[in-house]
Amino acid sequence: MNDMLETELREALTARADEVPASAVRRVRGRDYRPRTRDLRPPVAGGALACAAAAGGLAVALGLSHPSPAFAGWSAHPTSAKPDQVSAAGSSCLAKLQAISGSGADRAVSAKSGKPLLPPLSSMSQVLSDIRGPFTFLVYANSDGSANAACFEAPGFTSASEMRAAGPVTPVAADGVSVVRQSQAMSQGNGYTFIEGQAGSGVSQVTLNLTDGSTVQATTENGWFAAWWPGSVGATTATLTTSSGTTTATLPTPDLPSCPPSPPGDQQSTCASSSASGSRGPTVGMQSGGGTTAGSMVPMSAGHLSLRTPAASHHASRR
Amino acid sequence: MTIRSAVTGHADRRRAEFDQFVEDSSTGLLRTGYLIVWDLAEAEDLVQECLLAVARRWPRVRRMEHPYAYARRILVNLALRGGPARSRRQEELREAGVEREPSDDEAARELEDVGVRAELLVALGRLPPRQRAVLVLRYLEDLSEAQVAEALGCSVGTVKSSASRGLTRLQDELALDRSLIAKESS
Repeated sequence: MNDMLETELREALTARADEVPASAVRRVRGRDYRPRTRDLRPPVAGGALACAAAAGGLAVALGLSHPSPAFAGWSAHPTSAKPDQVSAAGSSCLAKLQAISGSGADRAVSAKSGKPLLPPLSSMSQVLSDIRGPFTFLVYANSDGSANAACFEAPGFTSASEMRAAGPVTPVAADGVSVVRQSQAMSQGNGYTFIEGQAGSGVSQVTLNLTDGSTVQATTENGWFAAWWPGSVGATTATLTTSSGTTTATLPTPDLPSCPPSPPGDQQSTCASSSASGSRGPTVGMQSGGGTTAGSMVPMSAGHLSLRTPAASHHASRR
Repeated sequence: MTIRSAVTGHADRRRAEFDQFVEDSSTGLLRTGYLIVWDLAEAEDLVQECLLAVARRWPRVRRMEHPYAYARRILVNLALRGGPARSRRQEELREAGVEREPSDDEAARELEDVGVRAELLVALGRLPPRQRAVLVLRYLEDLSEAQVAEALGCSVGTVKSSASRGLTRLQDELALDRSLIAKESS
């Protein structure tokens, strides 16, 4: 019986592996994995994450003290957009998101039914634009916030990702925030960390407190907040400003990837983190009630976006 | 030849070697990653992370006897270590209605039509990632139990027991599916 099962298993696995489309292989091959240093040596700053065996598994990371020149112009506070900056980024992001949303073999489907795991979304809206010098970070979401996409636009570079909450979205408290994700990604070989989430209707400002002691002020719009910063330092708390003052909210621990095994003799191992998907954390806030403010949203073209599985936080980038 | 040009030439060779490694390994890594995490987009992310890690260690990795095995080990490690949040979300997805509803006539008819391979794939998709990884490495990549143990960083005994449990679970799932088909048909 086992022999027959093993034979069937081999055939099934091979058939499943054959589903990997050539386009996916091309995307993987098309990335530039080489560190921007001579001789393929590990970078020593910005994006490098030292693997520390600290209690709780938190990693100590290098961060904002030596931001990469690739992020020149970045600011810890949002800046004003240049004319057409948001619309231009929006066009690039929409094209990127359409490209990675996939269709046919590119799209995540149920192994059982062959149908898309997620219902198609007829529309998504841009809910937030975070501007920091020449960089534009856009957040898109559906009406109940259960599905969203984020897009990072830098000069000559666009990176997009999309995800969906696994379960029902708990309304965020009026004076709280709910982190959708805090992730790390790469832009032209340089690591950066971004966070996005929903902010209660009473929250006027969100300031992120990073583990290296620095702070980054998030953009807060339409019931959402978002920010990004060079490097791989995570934000563990946020200072929320409301009409009654400020409070400190604890953020879900970033789901940082573990260090891969080091080759023999590699005693000074650094573990670079290119991405880490965080699951939908619990609503952070002191009081219940309130809800997500709808606000004004810029509609994207209907029928162009569909999101992947909850597990899939898909990144694509182009140089 | 100057010292500078010699150093530059050496670096260029390493880069060319790495580029060739990416060319040669990406298909295999993507197939393996896809089968372990069961999601193409996530597999792409993992392979990219994996190749980034290899790139950073390339001066050492290139001297290894089997650089691909090392990359595969990183890939498996990334796939399984990132597992808790992924597993939780996948579990919630199942609860959200992706699983079969036996009372649904249409679904039952669809199920009736699928072959053994499709049933097996469904059952495989339900396995915990670590069990699935063992089966993928054993039966897709044809690795020995010792090689699987090396890739997963566990003992041969653990590989044996995981493979056995995985196969048993697949058998059980197949038997369950077929009994449901029989029940619906009768």
